Amino acid sequence: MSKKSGFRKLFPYLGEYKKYAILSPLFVTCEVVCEILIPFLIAQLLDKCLAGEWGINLKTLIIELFALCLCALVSGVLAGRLTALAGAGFAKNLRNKCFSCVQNYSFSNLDEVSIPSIITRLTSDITMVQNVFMLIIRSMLFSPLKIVCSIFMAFKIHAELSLIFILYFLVLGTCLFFISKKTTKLFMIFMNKVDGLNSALQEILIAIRIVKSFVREKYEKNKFCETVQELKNSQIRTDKLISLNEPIIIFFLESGVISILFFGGKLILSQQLTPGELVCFLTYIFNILIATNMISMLLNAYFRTRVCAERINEILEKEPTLIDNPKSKVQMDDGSVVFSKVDFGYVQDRKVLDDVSFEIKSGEMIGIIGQTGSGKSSLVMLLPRLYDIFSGEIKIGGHNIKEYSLNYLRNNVSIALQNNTLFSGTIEENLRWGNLTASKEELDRVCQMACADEFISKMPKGFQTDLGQGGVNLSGGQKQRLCIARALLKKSKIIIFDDSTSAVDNMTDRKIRDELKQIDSTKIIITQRIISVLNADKILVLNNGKVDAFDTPENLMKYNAIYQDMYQTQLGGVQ
Amino acid sequence: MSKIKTPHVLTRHAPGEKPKDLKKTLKRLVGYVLERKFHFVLLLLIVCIVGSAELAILGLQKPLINGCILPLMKQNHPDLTQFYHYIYCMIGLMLLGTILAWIQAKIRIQIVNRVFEKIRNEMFAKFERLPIIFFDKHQYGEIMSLFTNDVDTLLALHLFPRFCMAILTIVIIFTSMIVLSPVLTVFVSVVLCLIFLIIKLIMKQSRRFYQQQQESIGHVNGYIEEIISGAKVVKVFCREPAVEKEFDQKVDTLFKDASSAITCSTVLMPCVGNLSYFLIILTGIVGGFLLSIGKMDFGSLAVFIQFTRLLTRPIAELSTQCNEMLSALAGSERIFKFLDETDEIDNGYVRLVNVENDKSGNIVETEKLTNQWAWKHPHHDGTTTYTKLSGNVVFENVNFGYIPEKQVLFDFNLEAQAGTKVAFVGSTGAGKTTITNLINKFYLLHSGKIRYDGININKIKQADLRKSMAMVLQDTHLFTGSVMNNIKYGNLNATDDDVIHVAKMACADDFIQKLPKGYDTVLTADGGNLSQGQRQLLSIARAMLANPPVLILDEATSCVDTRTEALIEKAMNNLMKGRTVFVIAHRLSTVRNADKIVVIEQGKIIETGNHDELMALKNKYYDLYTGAYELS
Repeated sequence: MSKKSGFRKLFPYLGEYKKYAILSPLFVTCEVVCEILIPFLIAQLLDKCLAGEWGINLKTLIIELFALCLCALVSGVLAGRLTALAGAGFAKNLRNKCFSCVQNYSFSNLDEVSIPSIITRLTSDITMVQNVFMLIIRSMLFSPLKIVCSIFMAFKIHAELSLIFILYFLVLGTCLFFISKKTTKLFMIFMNKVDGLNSALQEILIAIRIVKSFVREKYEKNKFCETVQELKNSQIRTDKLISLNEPIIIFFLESGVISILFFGGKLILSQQLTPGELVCFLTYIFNILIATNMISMLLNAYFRTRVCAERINEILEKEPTLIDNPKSKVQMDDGSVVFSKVDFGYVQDRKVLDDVSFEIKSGEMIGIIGQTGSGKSSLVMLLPRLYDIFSGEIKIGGHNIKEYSLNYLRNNVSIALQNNTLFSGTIEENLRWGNLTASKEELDRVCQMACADEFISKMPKGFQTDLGQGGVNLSGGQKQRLCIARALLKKSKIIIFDDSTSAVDNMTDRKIRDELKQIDSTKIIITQRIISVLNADKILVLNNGKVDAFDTPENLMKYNAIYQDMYQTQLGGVQ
Repeated sequence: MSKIKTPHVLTRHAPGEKPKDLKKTLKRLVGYVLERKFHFVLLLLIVCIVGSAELAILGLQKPLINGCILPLMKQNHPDLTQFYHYIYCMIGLMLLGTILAWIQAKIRIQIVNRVFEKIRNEMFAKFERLPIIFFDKHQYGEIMSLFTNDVDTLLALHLFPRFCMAILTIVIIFTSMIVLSPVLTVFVSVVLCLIFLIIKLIMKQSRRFYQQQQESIGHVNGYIEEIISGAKVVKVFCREPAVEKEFDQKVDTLFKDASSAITCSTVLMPCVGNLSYFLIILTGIVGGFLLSIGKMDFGSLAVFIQFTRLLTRPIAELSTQCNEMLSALAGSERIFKFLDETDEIDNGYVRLVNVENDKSGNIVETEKLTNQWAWKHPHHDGTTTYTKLSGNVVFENVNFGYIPEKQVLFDFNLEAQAGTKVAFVGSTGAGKTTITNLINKFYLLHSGKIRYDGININKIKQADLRKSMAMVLQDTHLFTGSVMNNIKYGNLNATDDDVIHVAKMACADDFIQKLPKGYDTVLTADGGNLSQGQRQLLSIARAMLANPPVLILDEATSCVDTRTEALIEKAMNNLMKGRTVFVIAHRLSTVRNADKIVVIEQGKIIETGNHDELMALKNKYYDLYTGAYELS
């Protein structure tokens, strides 16, 4: 079943809206049947009028006509409503399902799909799929049914004349099918060019200062004009093909009318057809035309959104790579950390950490230093089990970290990540991510520890200040301090700071460190600034994923080359 | 042809948005379309012919049925010459209509796409002429949306011929209907008005629901973007269940709004379709009655019924397309507003020219590339003086603020002699970056003067001023393209050897050689496949190739490892040799080597001097240097 198309694999997510998706086509059928019968009855009406039979005997016919018309209207409206419910419901379920899938992803899953790509899939891809899905449940049945019924009725009226219909449908259908198939290809190329134009624009938008300072406006303009020209050419190619539909439809419509007049006219003369039936035929040919056109539109949309459906499936089908132990009741004894022979990497064959072993006692303050890419951040992300290790063992509080439930583990190992993400909402709401039930005093206390109290109190609304999305109206240092406060509020046994004071000035940095010294939790601090770890109990020096040294700052100063080097470059001439 | 809406790439924008000044916007937009007047007139002409041909075929049915079919029905050997005659006529009209429709599409595509190209290019040119302050005030997303969403609304221009045709069809059909049967026409008009009212009502509802839907979509998408971008933080804090719950609520609201909005739009078509049947039945009954009492002939009725059917479509089309046209106008209004933004002010008339020394040692202007530059300064009295470009910069009582209410620099005075190094130190927000932004005229001063080689920079042509200085900023921006082209950005006329030479000076040659394709390696957007340090080295090489007398440096605070750090320091030192340098310093070594250190606090200079002088003062600089404060 691997050939099953992306769309069909998504259908099960209709869930409780399945009934609408099934009912809707039923009403559509009803609408079609009525719409097909109406011209037939009108033909009878006309013939009777022509024969001068106007009067009482037409009453039933007229009532029937009105009834049919009303029936068509009601089923049309109902079908529309049901389609809307099914479509919106389908999108709702897909969104919810995808979102919760992503929530269950491990960090390595997130890295694999990439965050911007997940966002597009959850937003625009789902909308596209929703639109096509509605088109499918409406037109999949509606259009072919209309064609079949029209041909059938025509056949009933006059079999030979209806042969024109079949021929007509086949030729038109083939033409439109090929056009829409070819258009899909061109359209993809066109969309790529649109993306190209947008990314070129974005690039310049971000680097506008560079463009201006190097006076490269003209150069960039010429480049951009070329891109625009290419886009234009591609668009013209696509448009031209699409617009072939217009003359083709005119041709078929009118040639259909003319041939029916011609053959039908002759048949009338030989008394094989009534004039009313001729008019009825004209209506049917019109039906076939619209329906065929609808099908080609549907195909077009379907071809274009297949990719979107595939991409959504990828999200839904991805297995979370981290296995939780949710029912575990194991508790931590203390904040001690033991690494023994830990190997780890983001991809199978590339180790980022190689045979790392060390021990941290509960309550110690540990610094981690090393060059970029030496594995510092990777190392601390292993503690709350954001990634699983290849081999070796990590113990926290006396137990292997895999024995704890993820929830318990992460609640007791708090980490302030490198990029300081805050969410929209008030400062207080953001802080409470750390602990929903914290008291006001606790909030004040952690803000004071993180030196965030002074700037919060200066804000017009204090803790109730609304941070825009991404916390835009704060400086980098202020954001970092809020993130530290948020992590502190968790009151966990281990607190990790991943370069989280890089934008804070030295004075504040020192104040924060002094405050941290006083809490009982084990503190692990990654930093590029040697001054931040001078008063740590021990410093772990990493080099290329290996432990280079793990000792007190005083001892390191005596024998460790990396430490000495950093010390010299950063604090050299000062002391 | 007006009956069928061919699939188009276009219908994804909001209905119901209206431009503020319809007339003015329309006039300006029409100006773009009319750029090819001949094509446009031809287009309108063809549209008229196509529409008429199509209706004529329908119209011919009347004499065909009345004259050639009905009277001959009872005859044994009817004379078919006239019958054939009509059929030939119809075939002729059909071919004409088909061919012209094809030509019409071709012309229309050319016109519309030309408008697109022109507007895109104009917008881009405008975008490059805007002052930096515009980019401070508007978010990237906002500007991007102008180029994408708003430009896309112009796709509605494709609907224009159909719009004309719909009007034409209505007019012709009505006239013919009156000719065929005035009584029946009155009757049909009344019913049509009712149908039209119903459509209007649905559209109005639809517009309201649609706006609600857009709002909920905005909320849902915003939430997705925020939470997914911060997914790692969500996990670290175990907030998955809470986040899912909130998302569920938002999606639920969207579901309600979306199903109402979609219902409106899906219900519209069956309503119109079935109401038109209703109309046909009524026409049939009334017409049948007229027929039976001999007030109407059958041919007329057959044509009349088809006309009635044809009439509902252009009316429905007009009302839906009207909305798309309006949102296109609203989109173009925003585009025009953008095009009308004020440009960067450039009244400069002092130009930078190549010069050489003549025999008597005077500077004279030359066409040759001499690598010697001078400011060509035409004076009011008609004389022109040449001042050698050396890079002396003086601030005289400069006052400045990004917004009028908040002054950032207060009465700022400073002289940087040619070839010296000036380092700015002070805490974040003290105004260091602001100073560098003023030298290259990214912003205009409130009061005071900045003189470059003794000339007020307001008198210097902007491009020439900026050519005479280079910037190396903290966040290095590179462009999609090869390493070679990225460095050449500094000087488009440089040869490959020049590039390799500066790359060596900038300590970048080593790592470039190790890249998969060396200098031809294509960098992805913003140099994502290089490390932070490598990107900085490239930007140093780029500035070096530009070879300007004045340099603005914003040293990066970002974490690069010690080895790369040493390389960058060496490269920077190479770059600074012999130039006037303004540096926002983060490295102690840079500060120590500066000729002049300027300590800034809240937009004011509090200390100036060299390292030893300031250390002796034992004041703010001393505190900074000994690590009591952050050097940034």
